[in-house]
Amino acid sequence: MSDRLVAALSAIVGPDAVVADRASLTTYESDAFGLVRGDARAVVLPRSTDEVSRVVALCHREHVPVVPRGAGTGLSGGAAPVDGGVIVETARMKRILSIDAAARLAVVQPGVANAVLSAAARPHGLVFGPDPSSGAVCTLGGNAAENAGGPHALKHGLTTQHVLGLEVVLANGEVVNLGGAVDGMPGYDLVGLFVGSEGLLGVTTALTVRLSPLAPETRTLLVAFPSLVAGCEAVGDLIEAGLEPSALEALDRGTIATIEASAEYAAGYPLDAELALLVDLDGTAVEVERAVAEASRICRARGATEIREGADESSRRKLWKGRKSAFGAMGRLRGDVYVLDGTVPRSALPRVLAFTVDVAARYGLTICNVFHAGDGNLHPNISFDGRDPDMTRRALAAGAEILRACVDAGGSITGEHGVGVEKLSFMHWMFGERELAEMEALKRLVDPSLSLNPGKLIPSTKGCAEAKGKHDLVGEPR
Amino acid sequence: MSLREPPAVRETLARAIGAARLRDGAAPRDLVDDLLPPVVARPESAGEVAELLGCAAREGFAVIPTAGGTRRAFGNPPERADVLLDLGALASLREWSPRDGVLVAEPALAVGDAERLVAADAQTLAGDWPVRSTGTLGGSAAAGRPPLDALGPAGPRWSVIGVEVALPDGTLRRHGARVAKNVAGFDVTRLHVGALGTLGVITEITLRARPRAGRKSETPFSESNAFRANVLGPDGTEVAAVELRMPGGRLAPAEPPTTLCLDEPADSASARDRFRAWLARWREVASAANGVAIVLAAPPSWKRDVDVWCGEPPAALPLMRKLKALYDPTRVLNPGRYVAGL
Repeated sequence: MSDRLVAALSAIVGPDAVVADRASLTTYESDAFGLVRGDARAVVLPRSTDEVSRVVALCHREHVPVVPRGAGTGLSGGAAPVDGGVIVETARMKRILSIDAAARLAVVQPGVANAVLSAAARPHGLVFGPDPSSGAVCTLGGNAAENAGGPHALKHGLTTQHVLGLEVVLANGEVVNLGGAVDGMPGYDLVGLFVGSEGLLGVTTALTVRLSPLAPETRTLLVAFPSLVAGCEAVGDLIEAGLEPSALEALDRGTIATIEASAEYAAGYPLDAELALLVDLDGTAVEVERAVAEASRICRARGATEIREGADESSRRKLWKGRKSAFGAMGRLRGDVYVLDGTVPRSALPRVLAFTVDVAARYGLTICNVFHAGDGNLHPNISFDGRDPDMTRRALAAGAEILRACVDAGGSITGEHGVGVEKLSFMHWMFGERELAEMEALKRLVDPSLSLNPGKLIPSTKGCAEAKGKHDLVGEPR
Repeated sequence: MSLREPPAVRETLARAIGAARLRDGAAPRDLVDDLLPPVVARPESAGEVAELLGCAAREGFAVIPTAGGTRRAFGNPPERADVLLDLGALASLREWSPRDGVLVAEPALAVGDAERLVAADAQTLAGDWPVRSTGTLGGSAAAGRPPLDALGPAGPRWSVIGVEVALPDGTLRRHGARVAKNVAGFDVTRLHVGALGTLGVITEITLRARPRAGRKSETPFSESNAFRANVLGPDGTEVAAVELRMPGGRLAPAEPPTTLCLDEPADSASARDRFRAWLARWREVASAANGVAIVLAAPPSWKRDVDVWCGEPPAALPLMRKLKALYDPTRVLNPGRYVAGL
């Protein structure tokens, strides 16, 4: 059967665009969330919408699940082939089809890397707003599927604010165009429904996205605080003063120590700070001048011990260096990192952050916090050794406790990484039975055979009992 | 064109939400285009809205939701209108947290009142909302685009981060959270924004305000050019208005004229024909530029002659029909008023 399927796939995309040998398939067992794995029967790398359509239609006829995949940088298991099936990887669909600088629009294939589009837009004075940390490799198709964010989501919003139109292949292979080239096309906002649907509703084959004007000037402040609470309160103060930083990031003492301990990643961050804020302020020169003065005053009033300023590109890049390499540096602690993605209202930041410290102590784990403070998006990073089952269990249980605290504070289990497989058992903290049933009904409306990316996002469609046991990472905390 | 006699409608609804919430419809203030709903219901809680919708769905009563009434002329003329659902009693502010930049309100809170509230804390809804309009938060979100008196921003899509909606199955659903950054589950909130109340009725809305600093008329989200074309009657009063939305950087062309001045009475057949031809030309221009031309208001007889939303139905119309059938299988919410008669 498998050979017949591989032959049929090869007939569509050519043998050089099908991966089916066991050794090569191990690369595709998981995405960047390594805790869930699966065995795909094959990976296909189509070059066109038509090829995607024919591949998906074939899988539909053969009752084989389809798992869309971009660069595999997802952090919730969204691209892991947990129910087997065929992975459709968009790596060969990476053409920028057009950039219309006057209209500030780009039309791209789904495999274009996030940073590649921004680099292409830059000569026009434009940029693609969302900038996830994995921007150098993560794809725009993946960004749309996960509704990706990034440090600059504070001012510029998530991916959903930047996608105007989608060409998608539905589960039966049908190609449909959603939205268009302007906001507010007539009809239900299907683009809004498909963005963030984690590959459950369709495979994106082209996107029409907004490009945003580059700010005339940007300055960066690195501010050191003697306590977590002081730093978090400063975040709220900055927003309440009417300032709108384009990014407002935070790193705790543990993160700074980890970065500075590595020769490769050291950025000269203040080791004695309990929390450091990285603040980007942009606008016209006059606006930025005023904002920098105001932000500095606010931070000092909250007891800031040091403020460094980067006014030009190279000094700004230096200040950002530590932030950008934080995840890489943390991987060196114990080898494995469980990256959480809870969001809380800004007023709850001090409380929930202190709670993560408490959780770390109780579970005997190291948790470093590096996060998008301005929009309350926490990324507690739990270091663990995946070869140690007890430690892995503790890491997952600690993570669940922290995410529960985020929901209880009025926030969310995920700000930008998606539900995937990782957070399936947390969905009922945020939604009632009716709302979850509604999501399942929406899924069945578009994909009645549940063949697109099964086992993700919706707890009730997890499927057979065997799969359920396999995917249940962790139960509820206590 | 009601399915039932007015007294029967009123008696049945009285059993669902109480006679005290009902009155007879009266022209002209309760007119929906040229239809007069025989009953006006004014529920006082989200639960009552859900009860009413459940009852309407069971009985087949067509429901026309309204709050501020500033967009009563928007949309195709409804096929039927049994109940005008007046949400005006649901106008309270639930919460405003300046530190979180989050505002929670009932649907009939006026946009201008909400803006004044957040402006006192150096924040704003501007750029995302038509803050100078007389419309309500719920009505603006349902319409998904600015009202007649405040064309400009793309509309409130960006800043709605959560809704509670009443559905025709008689239940209330909550989606979203009190945070702007939230990707848990399908973004169902977005389905209700711009749906003109054809999938459910918004009974509570959660939005994000933004810091005021540096916020000018231009926002990161206002690249598309929206402008307004209109038709004036012989006496100079506006008879019809059309919203034209093109990808940014493309200005209004010289032809067709942005304003069509009629010499003949607006109720004449020739006026209607001239409107239809003028709109068709605008739709050609808009579609050539990948834009849209949407009729914001026009006499009912003119609207019956066209689809106010679009010339060609959207490519995804079959999916949209399925959505409508999922949420409102008996078509009681604004029947016929939405795109392609949904």
